[in-house]
Amino acid sequence: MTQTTLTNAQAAVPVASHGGTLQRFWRTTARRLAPWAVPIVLVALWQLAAQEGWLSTRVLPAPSAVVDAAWQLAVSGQIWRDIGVSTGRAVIGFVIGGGLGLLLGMITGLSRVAETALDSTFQMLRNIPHLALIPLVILWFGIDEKAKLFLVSIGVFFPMYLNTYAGIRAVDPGLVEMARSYGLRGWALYRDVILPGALPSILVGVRFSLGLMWVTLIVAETISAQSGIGYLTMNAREFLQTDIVLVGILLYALLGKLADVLAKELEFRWLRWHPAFQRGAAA
Amino acid sequence: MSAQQLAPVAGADIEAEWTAEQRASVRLPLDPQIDPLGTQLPLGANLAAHAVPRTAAGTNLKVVHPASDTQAPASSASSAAGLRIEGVGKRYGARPVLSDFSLSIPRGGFAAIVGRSGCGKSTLLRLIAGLETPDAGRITLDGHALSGPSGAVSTRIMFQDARLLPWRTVLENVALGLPKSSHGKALDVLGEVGLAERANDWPSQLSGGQRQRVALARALVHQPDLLLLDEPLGALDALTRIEMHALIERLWRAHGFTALLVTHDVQEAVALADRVVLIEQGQLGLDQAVSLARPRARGSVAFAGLEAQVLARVLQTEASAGAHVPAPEPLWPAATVRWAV
Repeated sequence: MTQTTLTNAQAAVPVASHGGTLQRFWRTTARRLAPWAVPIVLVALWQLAAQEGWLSTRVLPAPSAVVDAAWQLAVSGQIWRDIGVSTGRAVIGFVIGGGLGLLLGMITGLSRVAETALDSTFQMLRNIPHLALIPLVILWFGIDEKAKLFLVSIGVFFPMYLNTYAGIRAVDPGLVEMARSYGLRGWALYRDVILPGALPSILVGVRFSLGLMWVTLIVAETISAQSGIGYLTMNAREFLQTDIVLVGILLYALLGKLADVLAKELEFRWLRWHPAFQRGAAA
Repeated sequence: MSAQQLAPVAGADIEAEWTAEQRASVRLPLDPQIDPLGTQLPLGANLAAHAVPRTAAGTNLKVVHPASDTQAPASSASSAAGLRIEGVGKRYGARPVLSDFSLSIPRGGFAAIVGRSGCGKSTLLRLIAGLETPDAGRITLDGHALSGPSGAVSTRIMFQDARLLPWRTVLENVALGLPKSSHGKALDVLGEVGLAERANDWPSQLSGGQRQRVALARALVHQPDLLLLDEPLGALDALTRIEMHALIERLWRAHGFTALLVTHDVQEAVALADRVVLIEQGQLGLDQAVSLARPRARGSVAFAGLEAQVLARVLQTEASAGAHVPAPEPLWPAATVRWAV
């Protein structure tokens, strides 16, 4: 039935005239390109302004200069070292803080005793902006790696903890009851019902955490570092290399976007069952 | 009214002559794959013929008198088969929900419990399912105690909402709690409810009636001795409900399990059950045998008469209970279920 209507439609296309398909092609292309129009125009204006000398290169070098600086850094290999160091810090901090947040969120979500003992403390601590701890962290750890990892871990911990805890609490009690009446106990109940039920919320926590991970790392690396993207930009600032500062900023933007894309991919993969996450659901 | 007074109405002295084995011997050659909903039964005549022994057995369900337990040890072997509820009581706080409630359903019987909201009918089902423990009394299935949340494997419950795990496919839901090797068996049962071709879909892609059919398959794959139905069709539209009645009846006849249906729909109770039990204020109010031939024609005079009779009795309860402060639905501990693993 569908087969026949499809072939009919295909057969009808050439008859309907080429103008129709061409028009449709332009319309879809235009719709896809529309969001990029404003950024492209802005970059073009920026390039023009820099070339004509309306903008001092110290304030904002031309986009071409920024690309050139990035190319130089890539060729010399310095940019890769700095990206590697920063990513390493981000990942280690994320694993420590996010892992602890996940673990403690699960414990407080699953056990009333742990909730009573720990939750109000965490709710109190989460209201402290973690960047306010910087002076204290410098006093405790000095200005080396440990301070940066500690800050990133703290920043990542709370979104993971809160979302895991809320996710486990939001698992439908009816499903838990049903699973128990079907003989699921202990690990099986946890693996088949509680964890998948909490997963959408946990993944929201992962996305929040990834965002905070980069923000915290930028601040920590800007304060003091001997390597990493933050070091790259701060060092360039001393020599008034505005183009390299811009390269560093763009790198943070790209890495942050990359982390977000990864988190989204996890959602699509793990939440296939969820109507909101099925591919094409948004269309 | 107490159970003792009502006992003769239900034919208290007739034991379960019509056992599952006997019914199996006249099992009809239904092909579930071809006829998932039993709507095209070409066997009406056969059914009517086979229904004769059923009706002769009349009400093969009986109310248990506390007294009869002591006087009839000889028949204990046969009376132990099936579900026995003896003097069960349950209270939430100070409010008694069930008090000294007794009922017994022979193996392979189908009983329906009706009553207004908060009368304790759902509580009774939850007690039998082991989701809650009774404060008093004893519940046994084929002589084995069914108390405590030990998850008696031989009992399965179907809830008003299908309660399918949304993150598992239809087939994985049916095979819940079973090893992977039993997926073939799960697929067979899924075929019996007419959903074999939806095995790899997500539950969110099914309609309400289809979800309940999956829940029914999930219950039946364990081959339960006792199937508890807690208003499983309450959220479905009228047409789907009629289809589900036919399906449940057909599967009950094919599998030979004991069935206990809780419903607020008197027509549903009369359409499906051998016997309709009314609970009012935590006690047995009415115990009406339904000896209509199966499959039951809703339009028939006998059906309509019986339905009207039961409905009148239920409404009378409500009228008499009008002065009495309507008891709210008990807050199910489901809302406070802990996931301590």
